[in-house]
Amino acid sequence: MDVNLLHIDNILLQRLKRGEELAFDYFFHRYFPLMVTFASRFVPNNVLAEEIVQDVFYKVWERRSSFANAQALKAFLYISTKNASYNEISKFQNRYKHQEAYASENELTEQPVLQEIIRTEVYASLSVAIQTLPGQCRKIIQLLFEEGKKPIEIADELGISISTVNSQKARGLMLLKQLLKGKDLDLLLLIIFLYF
Amino acid sequence: MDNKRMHRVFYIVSLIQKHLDGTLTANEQKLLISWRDEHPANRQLFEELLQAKNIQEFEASYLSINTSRALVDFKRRYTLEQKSPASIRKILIKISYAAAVLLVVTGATWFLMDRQPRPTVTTVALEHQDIQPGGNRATLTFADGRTIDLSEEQTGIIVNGESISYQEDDIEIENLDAKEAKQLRLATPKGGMYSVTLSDGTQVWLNAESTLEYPSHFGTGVRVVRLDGEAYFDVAKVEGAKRTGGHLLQPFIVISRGQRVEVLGTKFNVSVYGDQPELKTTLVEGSVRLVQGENEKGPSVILKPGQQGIVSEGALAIGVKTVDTESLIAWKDGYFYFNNTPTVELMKEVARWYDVEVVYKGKMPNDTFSGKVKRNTTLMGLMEILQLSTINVKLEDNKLIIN
Repeated sequence: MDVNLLHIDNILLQRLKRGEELAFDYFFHRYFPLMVTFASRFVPNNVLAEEIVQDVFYKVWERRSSFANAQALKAFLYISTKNASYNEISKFQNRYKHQEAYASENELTEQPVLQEIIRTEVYASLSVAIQTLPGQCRKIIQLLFEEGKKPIEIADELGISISTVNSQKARGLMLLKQLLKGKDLDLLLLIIFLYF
Repeated sequence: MDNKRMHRVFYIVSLIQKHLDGTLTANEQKLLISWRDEHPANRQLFEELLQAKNIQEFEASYLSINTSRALVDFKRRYTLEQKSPASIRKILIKISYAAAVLLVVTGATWFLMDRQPRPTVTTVALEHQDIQPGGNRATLTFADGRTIDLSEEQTGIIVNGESISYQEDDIEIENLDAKEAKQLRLATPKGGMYSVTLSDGTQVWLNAESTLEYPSHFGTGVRVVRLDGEAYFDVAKVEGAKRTGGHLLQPFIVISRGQRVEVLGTKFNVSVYGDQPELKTTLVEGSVRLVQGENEKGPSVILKPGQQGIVSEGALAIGVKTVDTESLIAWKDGYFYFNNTPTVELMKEVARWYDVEVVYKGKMPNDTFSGKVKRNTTLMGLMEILQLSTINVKLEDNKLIIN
């Protein structure tokens, strides 16, 4: 995963930990479709997959203070989605046991799960459509950072002129895309400092 | 399936991504190959991913999901209760922080807790825990063995044929004998940096825990200095003996343990710390000849701007790679500038600047960090920024503990 996207996630995680619902919405927009795609590799239909992932996201909210960093949150999403999917499958298996309509449990060992995670992560990073932060996420970032630090404080900390800060802020989130490609370190820091 | 395994999965993912970008190091390639050969299914997956066989199907599935609708649906099913049991914890934390302040006041040690939402009262505790950054600190040793502490109010000294004085306000430190060249030594401790302008006009910035030995004035032949640690050189071009067709430029040579750098007039950075297995010379401008070993006849390469030459003990050849010079020399302008810097490297720099010991508990971290931070930030200020990455640090006495 792009290292700078991970930075953004880490900043938003701090706000999630403070119980800010907008930060939760950010993570929902960011990871819900990915987790549903992942779950749908195990469960027979998308409606069920979506339900499973919604439950997982509620657990994320309940445990929001326990995540050390964004990668830990992502690991939790994968592990919980996989566990919940397996539970659903075993329900199905019990229901249809007499028909032997479903494959044996042996098929569901850990190895394929790890591979499925690798596939999901690599494809997500290869897909331009997925790598571009969803519009909703960008809007949320904008909302969350509007009440950040004063430009003079940021300028002082970054050692750059106030006019630079102001113009950067004005250019604002338009530049986010560039930033996420790792081309604009100063702006990344600007966002970090806007947050602090 | 635990977090450790997930960590490995994410690591393998990053290796595959690097492989696709063509930025794998030889060592990472080995790790990726050993993962691929671990299981026939891994090999199959690897080949599928390289060809991105099923990416369209994956993308279609991803894009078919209506997340905004799902979120509305989610909020209808669940109420996101703000007052979760965590609030009781918060109160406990508040109490413990208040206790912390008391403990600090009574002189007892208090270990900084992990990153929790911090009520205002904690800053008091934090200030007691904090470590101030380094500054303009250095000593100057004369040929007769006398050593003096240089002023922390000044950033550098200037050596000319007759005297040594401070750079900013021209106060004389020592009178020199113009006829006889004396050997001088400028040394910085941990948490110190200083600059010196040599008698030929060359300016050298010395980073923390470094030593530069140089003569009070250069002769007409080669100009030679010795370096241990890290320094940035802005070498002045000096015309030497007259030859038919003009003057020859007088070479400037930096000798360190295990290597020599020969230049005519250029800007470059040399990092030869004892705790680094590799000697790194980074060229910003002009051209340098980098020689392995202290003898000029050793194997050598010519570096171009933007390149870094790497001499490592026992290696057969000098390694050369293209680097981001701006991040590598930012220290001289008072910045930490990390650009995908491995955590372990970053921590060495932190240890030298804040004069702390870095202790790793458990596995050495293998992640990297990018960002630019002023070096006059206090240690806790820097740590707050580092904690945005996956680094988990805490300060106990003068030890920085990395989990």
